[in-house]
Amino acid sequence: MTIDLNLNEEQKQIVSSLRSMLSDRFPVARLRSRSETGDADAAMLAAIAAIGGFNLCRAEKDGGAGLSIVEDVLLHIEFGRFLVTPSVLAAAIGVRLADEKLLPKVADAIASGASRVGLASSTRPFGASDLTGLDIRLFDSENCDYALLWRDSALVLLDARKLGMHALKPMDRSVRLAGAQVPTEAIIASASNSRLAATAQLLVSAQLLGVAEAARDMAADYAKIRTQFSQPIGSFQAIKHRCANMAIQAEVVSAQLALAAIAERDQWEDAQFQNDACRLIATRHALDNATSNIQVHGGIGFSSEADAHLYVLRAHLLENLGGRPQLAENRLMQYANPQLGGRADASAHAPR
Amino acid sequence: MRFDFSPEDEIFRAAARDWLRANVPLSPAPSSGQPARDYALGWLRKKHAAGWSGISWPSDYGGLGLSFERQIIWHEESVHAGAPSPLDPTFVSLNHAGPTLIACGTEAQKAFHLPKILSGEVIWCQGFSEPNSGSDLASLRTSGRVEGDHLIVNGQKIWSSYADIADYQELLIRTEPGSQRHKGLSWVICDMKAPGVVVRPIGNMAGGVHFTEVFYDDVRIPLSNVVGALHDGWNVAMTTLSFERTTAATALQLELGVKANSLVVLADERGVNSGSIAHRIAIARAEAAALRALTYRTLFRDPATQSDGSIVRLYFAELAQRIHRLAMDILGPENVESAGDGGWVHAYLEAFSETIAGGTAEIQRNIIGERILGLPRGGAR
Repeated sequence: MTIDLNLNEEQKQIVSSLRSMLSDRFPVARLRSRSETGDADAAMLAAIAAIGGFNLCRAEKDGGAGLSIVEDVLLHIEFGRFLVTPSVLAAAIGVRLADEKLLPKVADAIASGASRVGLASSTRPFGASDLTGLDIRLFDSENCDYALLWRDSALVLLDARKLGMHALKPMDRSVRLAGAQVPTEAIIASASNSRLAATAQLLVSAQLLGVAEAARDMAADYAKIRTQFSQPIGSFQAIKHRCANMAIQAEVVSAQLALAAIAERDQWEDAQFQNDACRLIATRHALDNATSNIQVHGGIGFSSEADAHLYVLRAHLLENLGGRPQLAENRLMQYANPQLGGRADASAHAPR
Repeated sequence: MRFDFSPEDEIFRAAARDWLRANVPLSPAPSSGQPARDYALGWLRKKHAAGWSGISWPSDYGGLGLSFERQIIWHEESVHAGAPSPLDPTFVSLNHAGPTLIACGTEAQKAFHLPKILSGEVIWCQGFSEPNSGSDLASLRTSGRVEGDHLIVNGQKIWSSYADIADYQELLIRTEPGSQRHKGLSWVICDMKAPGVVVRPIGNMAGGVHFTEVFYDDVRIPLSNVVGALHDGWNVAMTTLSFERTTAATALQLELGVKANSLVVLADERGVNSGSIAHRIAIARAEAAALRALTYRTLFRDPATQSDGSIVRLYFAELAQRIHRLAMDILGPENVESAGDGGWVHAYLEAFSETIAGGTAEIQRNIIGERILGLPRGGAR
């Protein structure tokens, strides 16, 4: 029996090299001086591609490094922590979709960073027949070659150059938002693929965990240095217990994310259950932690001059990616009793 | 990151499952008094006779000498077979006193007590808390005065489960006169039949009477019953509590997952599996799944830390309360009766103790805030 939901040495290495690169070159503070114009993400996406961020988890037969979804999850926790553009999710899924659709040149270009993919979402579900003319929202996509549209189990690779985008005002001001209608000629490939959608959902959960952990750390750090009544506010139980709750919430998501990632990698019968359970708590706890962080910071937390509010905005951006989190919740009602992971007991995992 | 079972594990699991399916008692466990003692010891004797008692205990003392992992597999299968909860009158002997004796006891103490514990001959109870020493355990005042080769014990303990039906007690007392706080304490084995020991049962809000308070009036305990060094009881007690927060809790945490899943059927049967109830069930199932992941991660964390234990302990406690509260709402008008409900009503009331016993939720949050997040300690403790 080997149960190990902790990182091995190689995984620790991967995380620490990405984390130090992001914190040295692209700390969250970068977003304070983000200009409305110009290509703010180019350098960061190139740097991520340069350390193999889009290639590590691509299959070896397709030219990737052959690591698994577990390692991809670890990367996306860091992307969430540093509020990296949603384009990294589009790239991670775009590579997989292009490989699956036998578009190796497209996949190679995305994996190497030569081509960029923006993430797109639809406010309503759609089928293959009503894709043309569909209203979509795109994140950080003006300078992209492709856009990846994801809703439920539908995944569509679009030619971003053929989308007539118009700028919209984003709720999360750390990204740029555009609207477009999908012209038929922009559709490169589409798939209804629950496995790929499950991968995407897991990576969203990973980014949500990054947000939850970052908010926890920011709150705890502030509680140690901010003094009132001649004491650090973290010595007061009202603040300490709020911070403890943030630690619990992040730890719980982290444990379930590790298990769900293993379930996905090893193709357990109950992988979708574990994934949905993770999405549900990741969505709730990321927003809870981001909200608590504002309260711990007090007035400065409400201001736009500190970074605390950015995690709230990002939690909301992430929560509805790929469709409402209620979809995962509805599926959670449908599973028969999930059994112990890794055991072949198919009857126990099938939807009722 | 891995989560695999070897073929040998699966053989052990299958054997455990087969035996449990054929032998799990059908009648529910009585909650107090002699019936609770007879039921718990009967179940333990049955396991012992079939060779399932003390799976990870050393074989020198009657255990099977198998790995910690096999013990976990046993817990998993017990939960899925609906075996009696480990939180029964044998809990303290199997999960507190036994492991503490293995870690800190003398050869004579081990040779005498461990076989009796494993074979289901004896019940142990705990004697740590006092009326004025709850969260602040280190302020305890029950004293043991050394007189020759004995300790003369005077004082009072409280919240000692099943002391009324116990043979022995793990007793934490102040043995060094004038000592303060964590210093000068000793962990001793108290024979509950010794003259001067008086037990008074305390009813609880669930209608049960498993709690007691225990009075000691010049109780003579031989010095040979001190476990670990005299005056070093705090360290021994922390060893005891570290066992409480690991293996023993595992079965309870896994059991909560089974309970969360069973809410679906409970709600389906009553036609209320929709709207806000369905929403809460989905969340409960997700949280119970996460509790299981958290349990495994914490069990196999290297190096293990006690503060990790506080996170899993607290998450379990509060989730248990949410799940039982949800069951009450699913039962609706049926919850006026505390029987014929699958045990939910009684369990709901019992679950109020989860955020109090074994360290209150507030103390756990202090530990998490201070030891994991590094927040400063407050003035008043």
